[in-house]
Amino acid sequence: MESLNQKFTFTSKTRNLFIGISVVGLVLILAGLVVHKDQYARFWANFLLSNFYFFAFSIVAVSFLAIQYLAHAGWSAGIKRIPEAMSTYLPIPFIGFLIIIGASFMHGHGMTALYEWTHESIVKADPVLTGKSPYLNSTFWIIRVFVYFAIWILCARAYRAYSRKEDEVGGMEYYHKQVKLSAGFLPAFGVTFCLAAFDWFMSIQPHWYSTIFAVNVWASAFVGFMTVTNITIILLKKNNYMQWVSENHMHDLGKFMFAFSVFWTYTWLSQFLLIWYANLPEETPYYLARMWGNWKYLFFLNLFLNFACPFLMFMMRDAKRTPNWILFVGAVLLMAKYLDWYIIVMPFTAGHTSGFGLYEIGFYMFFGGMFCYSLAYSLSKANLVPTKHPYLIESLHHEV
Amino acid sequence: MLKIKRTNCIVAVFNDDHVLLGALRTAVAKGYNIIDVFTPFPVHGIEKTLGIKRSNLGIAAFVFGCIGLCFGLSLTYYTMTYDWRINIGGKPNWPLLSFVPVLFECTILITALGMVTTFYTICKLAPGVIPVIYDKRATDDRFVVLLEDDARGAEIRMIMKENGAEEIRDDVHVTDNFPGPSPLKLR
Repeated sequence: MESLNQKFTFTSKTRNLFIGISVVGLVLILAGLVVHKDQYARFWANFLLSNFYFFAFSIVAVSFLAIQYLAHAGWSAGIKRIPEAMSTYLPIPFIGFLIIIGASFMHGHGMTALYEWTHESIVKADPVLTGKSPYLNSTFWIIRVFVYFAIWILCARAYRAYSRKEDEVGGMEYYHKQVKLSAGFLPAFGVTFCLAAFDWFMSIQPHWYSTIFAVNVWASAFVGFMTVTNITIILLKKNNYMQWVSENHMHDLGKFMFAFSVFWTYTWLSQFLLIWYANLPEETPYYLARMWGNWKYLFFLNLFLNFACPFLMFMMRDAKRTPNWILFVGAVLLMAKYLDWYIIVMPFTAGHTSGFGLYEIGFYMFFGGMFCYSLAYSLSKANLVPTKHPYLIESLHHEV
Repeated sequence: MLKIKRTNCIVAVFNDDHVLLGALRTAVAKGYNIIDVFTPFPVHGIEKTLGIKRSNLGIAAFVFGCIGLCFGLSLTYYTMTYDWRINIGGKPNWPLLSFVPVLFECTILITALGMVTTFYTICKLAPGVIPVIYDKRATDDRFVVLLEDDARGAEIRMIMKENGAEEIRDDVHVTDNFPGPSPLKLR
């Protein structure tokens, strides 16, 4: 085994690739402004969707670190620099939300394009929205965005700072500090992530509510995060980094991808079945819009890609231990997660203008390029493995 | 035709899993015939050392799951759609989505029952079977290795002793070709 003091070299070739992806994305968005003329709602819906997509992976990365510390997990010590590096992306989605908030000053842009409840005249005429207005109003929404990101970014930075400090001094001091931090962060994350999912996604249809909605979004994000982590590890290994990570680690990450795909289906069905069966007028509009008309193909494709595909393709033990197969299933899952949230966001924002065109591809590439860049940049800034983590030896000998 | 095979064997008792693994490696390297190993808890790396292949129980589970799913589908279809239609809340005649919990439970039930049966059959276990225990301490804190007492018997005893066996005894290992629980072992 080679030395553990290994750093990722962020070559100018990779750097240019990631910047290139973002720039091409930006060009596509600008071209979209001409092609998809006057479809502002679609523009902002895509902004929100792609911004949230990569944000969700990076925030779940922080919660994954918290879970590992609270559970005193040993197996993940060798790979924990990847979630850590992912968490450094968090300021960029914050800027994304600042742009959404800033654009709201122009009528028909930003929040006003996305959320019905930002229009005072609609809220006044609607007793339900009036009743919800103490929570669902622009000022409080903006305050909440700041509070969420303050908690998330501070904790993410603390994890990374403690972990890098541990590399220098060693010992148990910083491990215990991270355990304490996790005990505080995890409940805070549970509340803030739920509220964020309610604020950003569920309030697109302000009359509709589902208490399990946030859990469903979280399950998606968790699968996506695990997929990104697994793919990153495989790509790093293919480029001769992290040779100490074996197929046992990939197997465990694969188990997470598999298990949480099933968990996603469970929460999806919990939400769907009760609403479909009870058939109550205030709950059904969400599914009414998605199960009939043109949306129904995507609706059932979503179930197929998010449940049937990973369930059948990833069930065998060997499937989770074959890197190229993991890359393939990972690609399917990343598409599936995009589709899952696409179906949540689009019908009531972009509506009949929604489709799959320059905006969709452009925004995905724009944010995706930045996500990859910040991930690779942060990986290059610290050792690929926390060299003085107390459980490192256990992780290096991990076997399943 | 029931065929019974009796093999003279050597029972080597160890009191540490690392010592056991070392002794097993030596035994495998020397080509001794290891019949079985009994440990009070799963020992890491023992399958690799003994060259035991992964069992196909997973595939059996998948097959049982498919059977269970088909059973659930036919049960719900027969009772709720074919035999006696009831209009419940204006739902379709075959409301597949509301049967998901039933289908899930049927899949789990048949898989669980099938796996228990398969496992008992493979391990030749059944209620009333008298278990063959070579050393009772294997259920507590000792690791017991069963080696075939062939022409190299004396050498095996010596090598096992050298590799840390705290006790060596002779015993007889009985096998039969009967699928499932052995009739001889039933009370």
